[in-house]
Amino acid sequence: MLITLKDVSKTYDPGRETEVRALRGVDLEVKEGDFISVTGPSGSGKSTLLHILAGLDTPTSGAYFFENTDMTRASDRAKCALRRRQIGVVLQDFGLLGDDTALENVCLPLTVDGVSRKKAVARAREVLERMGIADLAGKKVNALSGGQRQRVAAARALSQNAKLLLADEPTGALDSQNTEALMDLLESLNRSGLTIIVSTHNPTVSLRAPVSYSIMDGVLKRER
Amino acid sequence: MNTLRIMNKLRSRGFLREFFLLATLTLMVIFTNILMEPLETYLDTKRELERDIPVDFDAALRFSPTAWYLWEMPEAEPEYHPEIHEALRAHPGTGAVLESRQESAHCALGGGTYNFDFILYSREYARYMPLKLREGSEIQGEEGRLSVVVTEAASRSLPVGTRFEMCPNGEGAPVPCLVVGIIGGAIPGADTHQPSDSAEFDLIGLTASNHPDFALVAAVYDPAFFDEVPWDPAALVLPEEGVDVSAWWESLGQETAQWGQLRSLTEYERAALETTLSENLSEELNFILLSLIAVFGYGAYLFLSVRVRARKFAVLSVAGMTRGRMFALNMGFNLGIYLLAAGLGWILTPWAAKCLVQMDRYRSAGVLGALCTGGLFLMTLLMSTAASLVQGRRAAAITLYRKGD
Repeated sequence: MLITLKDVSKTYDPGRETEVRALRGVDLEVKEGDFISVTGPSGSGKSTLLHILAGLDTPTSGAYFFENTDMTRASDRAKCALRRRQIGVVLQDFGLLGDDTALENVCLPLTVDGVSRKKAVARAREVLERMGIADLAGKKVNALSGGQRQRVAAARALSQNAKLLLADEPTGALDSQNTEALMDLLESLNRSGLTIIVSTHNPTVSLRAPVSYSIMDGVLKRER
Repeated sequence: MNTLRIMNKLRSRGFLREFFLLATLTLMVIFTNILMEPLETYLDTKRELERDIPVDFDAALRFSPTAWYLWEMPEAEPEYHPEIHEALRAHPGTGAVLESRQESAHCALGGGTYNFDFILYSREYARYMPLKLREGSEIQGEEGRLSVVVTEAASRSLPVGTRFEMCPNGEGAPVPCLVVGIIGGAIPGADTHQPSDSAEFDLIGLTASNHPDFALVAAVYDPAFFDEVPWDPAALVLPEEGVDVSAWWESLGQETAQWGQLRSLTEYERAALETTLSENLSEELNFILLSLIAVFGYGAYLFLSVRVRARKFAVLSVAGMTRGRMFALNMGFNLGIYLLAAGLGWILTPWAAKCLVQMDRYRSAGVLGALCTGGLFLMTLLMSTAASLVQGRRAAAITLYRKGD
């Protein structure tokens, strides 16, 4: 099993007036090669779930294992190493450095990981090619369209041959045409063996995933 | 190289921001150096004197008929009373009374006249605190001429071998003099202590040294030269070995209270520092205010600069960078700018001291200045970076990660 969540809960500001219970007793098992969508309205807990899966956030209670790693006890260093090499993250607002080129952005996890400049550039070009955006390599991200940026963000997430791609509302800022194109890309990546979890409140996106979950007030429920 | 690349990504693209940071830090270094200067000078002088003068600073006392520091002038004109020194010398427990006097003089030399300060030492003074002469600089004295030794700075106008005439305080008959050596160590005095190589303070030491070449060993008392000049009978008083210093000090103070005051030499030196500080109070308050502005301005800038980069930190976090590395990178980036600012500040401080705050005698702020600016910088850097990263992390989470929900 790639991911195992057992009775995971997340509460922000516990014991205060501003307390928010974002996740309540979530159980989830994800095998390698799964393509899962998580749907729900704003504030339902989708992003919190994905951030916990990415190691950007920690559950208040419950257990989370990524393969054999206990993510609730793992150090910041260990979680960061996983994000660099095994877990790719795509965010709604792309999470790119706007002043840098697409190539530089894709190189970023490799640079952080200490990969040599030559190898990083070669690998980044290969990934951009695979995403069909090799021609954007030298363009600054600020000059790209929303669809192009999201492809660059996906390329960055996969620059190190990640096993898992977590996409938090990846189509939130895209028009329908770019949404379709991105979902085509994700499907093709999944066919090549990549495990994908997408959070969305767009039913069209959700229907493209073979496995679908819904989330409401922090409670996760399998739909199909 | 990768670290430098990431550091470059953290850099703000606006040149003005970086320039502002550099300017703020440079000002902080300059102000701190200027603020530290009087304290630095005091400690340097004390260190120099302790090295050159074989007197126990903590046991030695300074007698003065004036209030205990020069700026509090006596009500009456200073006048030498031999009985004062006799009373000091005769008191049980007293080991030695070292007399000296500091005056100014007009010196006729070649076609022109020069103003110099000079110190006269008694024979006893010279025995306890012999002047150290620069090796190889001495020549034989001449009969009928006062042998004088000069500081390094004074030797530019009065090289060894120069014959000249001097009028102490501009009064009395001219005294024929001959420069017989250059002082190589500190110049001890009961009223003041001056480093011998001060470029701005030309000083002639008229020594009563036990050096055989100095003919006028009893210059202080020689009526042929200085009879008409009134002087302040300040003196250093040393206890006998093994004496209870505090008891001796107390009884001596009571006995000589009618003539003047006794203070410990250390206390006297401290008072000199306090006087210097109080004379420049308004400037110092301005420096402190400006330093605080610089420190807080820098701290606030650091804080905001990290907040502004919160999104970049969030992106780096998504790309797998640890919090510790982000902290270290941010520290490294700011440390680089600080080192540049420190270099600039140290180069600009003498100019700023002279032109901006009219400090005539700025000596390079040494270790103390460096420790102080470095300490201030590190404290500000650590506090503002830590605070801003905590805040920045929250801001990043809100602006980037949690945008979905």
